[in-house]
Amino acid sequence: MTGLDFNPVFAHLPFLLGGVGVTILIATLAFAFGLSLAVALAILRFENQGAWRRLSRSYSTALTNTPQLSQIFAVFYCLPLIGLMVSPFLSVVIGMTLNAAAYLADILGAGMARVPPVYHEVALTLGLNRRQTYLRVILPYAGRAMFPALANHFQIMILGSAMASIFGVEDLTGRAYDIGSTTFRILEVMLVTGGLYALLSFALTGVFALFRRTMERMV
Amino acid sequence: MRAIRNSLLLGVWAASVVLWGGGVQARDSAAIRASGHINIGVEPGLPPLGKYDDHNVLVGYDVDIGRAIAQGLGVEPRFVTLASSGRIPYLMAGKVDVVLGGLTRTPARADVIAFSRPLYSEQFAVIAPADRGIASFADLESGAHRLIEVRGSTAVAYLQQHAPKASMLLLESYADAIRALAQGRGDAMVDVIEYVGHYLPSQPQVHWRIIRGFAAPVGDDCIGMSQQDVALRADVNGILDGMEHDGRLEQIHRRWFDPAGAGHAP
Repeated sequence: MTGLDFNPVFAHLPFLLGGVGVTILIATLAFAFGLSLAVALAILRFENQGAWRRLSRSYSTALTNTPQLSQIFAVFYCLPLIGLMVSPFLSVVIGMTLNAAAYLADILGAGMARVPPVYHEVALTLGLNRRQTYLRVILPYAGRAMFPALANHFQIMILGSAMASIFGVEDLTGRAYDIGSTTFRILEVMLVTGGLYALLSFALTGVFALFRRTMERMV
Repeated sequence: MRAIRNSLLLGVWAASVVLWGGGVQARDSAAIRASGHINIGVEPGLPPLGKYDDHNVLVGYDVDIGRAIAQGLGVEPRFVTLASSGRIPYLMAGKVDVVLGGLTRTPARADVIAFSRPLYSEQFAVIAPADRGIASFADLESGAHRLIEVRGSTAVAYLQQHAPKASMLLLESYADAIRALAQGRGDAMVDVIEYVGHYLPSQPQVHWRIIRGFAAPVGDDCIGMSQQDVALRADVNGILDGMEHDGRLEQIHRRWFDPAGAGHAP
């Protein structure tokens, strides 16, 4: 019907590229907060056998078996019902944080279970208390052991943050839709946007590989 | 590096399939007649143009018009549901042969698709909760109020031109926009009240203020088609002319629109 014409998209490229920063910011904040919450959930699981352990497991079960979209939707539309008005950006960050924490707790939990018993004994012999044992022995070991899985989840979050556009956030996908709705070149703009996501993902792969090599040299 | 190279090659191959595959070309009128059916894009979330009734059957003004067009062409209508933002992309990608869904004729759209003769004209209104203190469209021009709009609607372009200082939150559907407006995420919405009005009863706790008359009729709603298919456009216009002549166009309009509303059949 019509040939491809990328010129209208390239005319809006600076606007589109501005969305890359928003995408990175959303994923980074949600990952950082999610990881913090995941550490607490994993320790609850590791330290307890009773209700706290079940609570932590139930959280992961509930949030890994429901769509992230539903979770953000609940934050965006349900919090105002109890008088909490959270901005679209923050709603997406909160929703993605809650979702990430569930997955990251499972990943960290698996890493913590792999810490050799002798490490615990050495920490005890050195007189470390539980807090010091977690900070200096267990979490660093689990973090190194599960680094590929954690890095992989961050990349999933970068790509999954595209759903922020549904809630009016001007991330990379949101801006792509904006350009598509004014230029009507949605196919071209989505091809360019897909390419930008791929470049972002490849760049992150390189950064993580570098980070891992640096980390291994420090050990 | 090999994994990255392989991924890029796979991406190029996938894009090639999408771009040059057989499924992306819009069909011309001869192909439509030969296949025995016509794919008609309608928006199910935009009553009275399209909605699902109590029996989960797609009904509405656009559905009736679509059936009449198909009958006139002597083919079976096949309705493809889509959202506002998908109307023109679906047509350009050949997913539908014609598209309705409150498609206003604008110069920007006329650059990429063709339009039938007008079905009816529409006019914008300001829709706002009464407690937001909005008395006229001029209040929106100051930029002090936040607007909530549906991405891809004509109202977005209208507001960018007539109220450029106003900030906008763009959501995906009218149901989402009205819910967000009722919850206080924005102060007002500008759109066609004949469409949006159907969602206002879903928020009974809000006293809505409707402000009309600040804008001339914003345009004619038409059926969108391929620019290249002159024959299909002539056929569709001929069918619509016939429907106007025998009164069916007016009859369908009265059936779905409030006769006292702003939309008028041509």
